[in-house]
Amino acid sequence: MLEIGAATLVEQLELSATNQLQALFEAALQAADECICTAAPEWLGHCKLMMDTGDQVCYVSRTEANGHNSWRNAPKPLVAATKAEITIYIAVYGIDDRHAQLAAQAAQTMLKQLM
Amino acid sequence: MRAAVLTGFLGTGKTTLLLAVANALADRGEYVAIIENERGSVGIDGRYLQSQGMTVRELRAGCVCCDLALPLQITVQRLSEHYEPDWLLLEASGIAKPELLKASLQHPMISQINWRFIALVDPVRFGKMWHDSYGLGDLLRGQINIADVIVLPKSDLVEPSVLEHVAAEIRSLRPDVPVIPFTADDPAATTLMLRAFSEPLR
Ligand SMILES: Nc1nc2c(ncn2[C@@H]2O[C@H](COP(=O)(O)OP(=O)(O)OP(=O)(O)O)[C@@H](O)[C@H]2O)c(=O)[nH]1
Ligand SMILES: [Mg+2]
Repeated sequence: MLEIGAATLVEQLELSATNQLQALFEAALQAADECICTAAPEWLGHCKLMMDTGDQVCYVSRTEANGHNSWRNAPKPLVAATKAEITIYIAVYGIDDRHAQLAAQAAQTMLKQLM
Repeated sequence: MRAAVLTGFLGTGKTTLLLAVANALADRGEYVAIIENERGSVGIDGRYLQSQGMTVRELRAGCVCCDLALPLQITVQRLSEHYEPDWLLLEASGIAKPELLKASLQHPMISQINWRFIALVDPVRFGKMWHDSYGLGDLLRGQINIADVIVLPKSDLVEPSVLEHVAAEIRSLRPDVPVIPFTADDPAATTLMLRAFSEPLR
């Protein structure tokens, strides 16, 4: 039966003013996408990444294998080192519980890229 | 109170459309309450909408069409009694079973509410879903079957011919419902959406 395999992670990050946030987040999404593709090369679903610094909330996501990054509120450059809360959400359509494991793996992969 | 439920696959654009419509309604002085059904232990949509100033209730530990049907009904009842919003907007999860969702929203406990069913169909991934054999195609057709209005979001990302093709496939199933393209950040498209959400049901 069709199901959604989902995984979420919330982490605090220390970001320095020199961080290229947009490139960092896009690389993290790319890593998650590649991770899912190893087991589900034509996956459909939603990989989302939200950053909240208190001053700004940014949200970027992709919705299919080898997908493109789509931004709502792209990040503005940081003026100083900042703490940010990062929320990672991965959900993939599948027909077995393998997809929940895959989503969890992809979430970890994404986090590693961000740390 | 007016009420609308947005259905559509994971990543189709439900939250984006919901926020655009909610902002436009708020600009008209109308009070909007939102219910989010995002699967998983932590949600992004609810937090994102709250960060944009919205009143949101989240239901996460399942799907509002089945295991969360009762919590949904209680949430709807409480929101409508305690907040008296002009509008209640519900974002269904990407796996909600359309017929069950409809039944859950017609439960006697909340049967005074006349829900408008807005089905979002992603024109970018349509080809991968429509002909899919492991359940996505059936789910998509189910969403279309219960819809009062069908929206094609992300219309900025596809050629007009693709939009036409998707609309034609949908009309072959439901010639009786409007099919309306939508692009985020396009005020004219949001105005069309407001009309689609507000016009009396036929
Ligand atoms: N270019 C473009 N991108 C869009 C549009 N609508 C949504 N998106 C993007 O598509 C992705 C999915 O949008 P969401 O609104 O989060 O989709 P959703 O249906 O709420 O997703 P889930 O709740 O995870 O099922 C996001 O990255 C959006 O920025 C649109 O009209 N144009
Ligand atoms: Mg959403």
